[in-house]
Amino acid sequence: MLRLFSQPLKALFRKLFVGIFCLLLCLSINAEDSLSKEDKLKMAYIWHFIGFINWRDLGSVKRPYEIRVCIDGPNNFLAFFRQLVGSRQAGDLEKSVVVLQLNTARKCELIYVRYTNKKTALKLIDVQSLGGSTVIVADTSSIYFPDASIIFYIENKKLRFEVNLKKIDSLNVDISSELLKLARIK
Amino acid sequence: MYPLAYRVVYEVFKVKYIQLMLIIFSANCFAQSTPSEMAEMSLQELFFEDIYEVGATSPWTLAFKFKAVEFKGYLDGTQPVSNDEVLWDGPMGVEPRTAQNFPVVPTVITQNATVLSLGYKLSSQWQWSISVPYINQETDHISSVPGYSNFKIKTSGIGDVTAVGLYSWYSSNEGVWGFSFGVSLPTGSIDEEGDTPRPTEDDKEPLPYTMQLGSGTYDFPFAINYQYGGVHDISIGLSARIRTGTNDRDYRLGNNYGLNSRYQFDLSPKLQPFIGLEFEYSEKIHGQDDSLIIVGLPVSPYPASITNPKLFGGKKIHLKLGLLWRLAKDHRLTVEIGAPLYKKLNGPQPKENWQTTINISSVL
Repeated sequence: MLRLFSQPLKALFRKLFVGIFCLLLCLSINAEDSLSKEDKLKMAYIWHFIGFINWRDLGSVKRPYEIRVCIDGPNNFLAFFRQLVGSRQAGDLEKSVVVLQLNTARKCELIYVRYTNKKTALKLIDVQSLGGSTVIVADTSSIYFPDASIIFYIENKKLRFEVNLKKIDSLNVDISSELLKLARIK
Repeated sequence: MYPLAYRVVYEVFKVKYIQLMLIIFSANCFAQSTPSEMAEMSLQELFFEDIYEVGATSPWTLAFKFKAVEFKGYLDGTQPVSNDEVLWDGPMGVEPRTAQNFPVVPTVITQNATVLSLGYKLSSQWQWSISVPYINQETDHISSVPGYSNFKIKTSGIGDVTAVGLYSWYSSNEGVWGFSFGVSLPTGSIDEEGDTPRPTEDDKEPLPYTMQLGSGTYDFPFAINYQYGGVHDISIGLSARIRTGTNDRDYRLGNNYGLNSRYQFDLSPKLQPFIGLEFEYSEKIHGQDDSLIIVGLPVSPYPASITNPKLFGGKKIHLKLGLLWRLAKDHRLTVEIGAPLYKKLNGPQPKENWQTTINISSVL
């Protein structure tokens, strides 16, 4: 046991302590921006999805029309996406985007599900009374959400997405061929 | 005990360490991808973007490494030898002097190096770096010399400065070849002195090879590495440190050759544990520092095993475990611990017990 306190270990622990102290200091400053790059890429993709999907029902209403994006995720995720939306306009200028927390939203054009399990998914579908034009984007294929049209997956350290064409065809939406070119089609 | 300049450098270095940590981690606070940056990316750009925070925003990199190694006990070949067996009890004792026992025996050797490296990326394939080590060494001894039954020697100072160039070649979508070559300059001292049992007027005698801070020669490190970037993150590499000429004390440390492999996996996008195996072969010392020998000693002129150039080198296989933590974009922390699984040493020679490395790198 005494060897634990030998000189080199003392020096090591002292340096480690200082390093960790500085790291924690930074993390406390940086706590709100703790999202991984993977999460940020997902949000950037969702942002592009909005631009490449046409909601037919909304095309007939007064312009610019509103796209409600409902997020089933933590607050920092939501905050980052709001900032992302605030910095750019989606696709054409006819769409304005509103970002909502899923559990407080009543109707959504696009839902991003992140943590939902089978039980809450079914409850959510009931609460939302999902219409024929709600596009559901699932965080990974491991999330149980039977109505998901787009599912993210990782391939060779790159973020990819799969489009369920059958599901998309059943919705009242059009999806751009530009988006489909980059997707894995199910 | 040590020249004032050394003590001042050491104290300044301790303070600089804290400042450096604060600079690295405070830079981290402002190094995240911003929402507007992500919004600016096209769909095609997103498609080719790595999910990890890679891709330097600046060509300059600063890295800080702390490495500690402890040697304790002895091996002759693969056989353990006790300190008592290595210690010769002197001309008045009952034990006969052989070439395998000595009047002075180092019991614990600890070495730690703090290395500051500055790198510059010339292109996507070429980069270079320069590393400056600060070394602290300490050795506990037992001896049969009256008045020196237990004593300790310490040395510290700047070691050999190394400049390395690295070329990366992307052979396919899944693999990267890395070739590195460099030069190590003889900036570390080979004239360290201390109070040893050898009788002199000022109690300052030249210290053995292990207590010197540099090699005293121009050395050339080379490495070749292949990293498979597919589903499994595996890398293998060959390395060598070729030493040339003879230093001012008429010796040259032995060449080192290594073969290493590492498997890394994703615990999360930010945390990658890894496990590695490393085979290392090092040669004996060529030549000899004659100031370390005592001609009057019976059988062998070497007062300690670490003064005999033939009792250096051997083969080792290390197991290493570690964790890479991608703190943020352009900031990485790696912690690694290692221990030898197999050792065959030209002995009797002090054996390595463990080693640990902490590395922090940051794009400036």
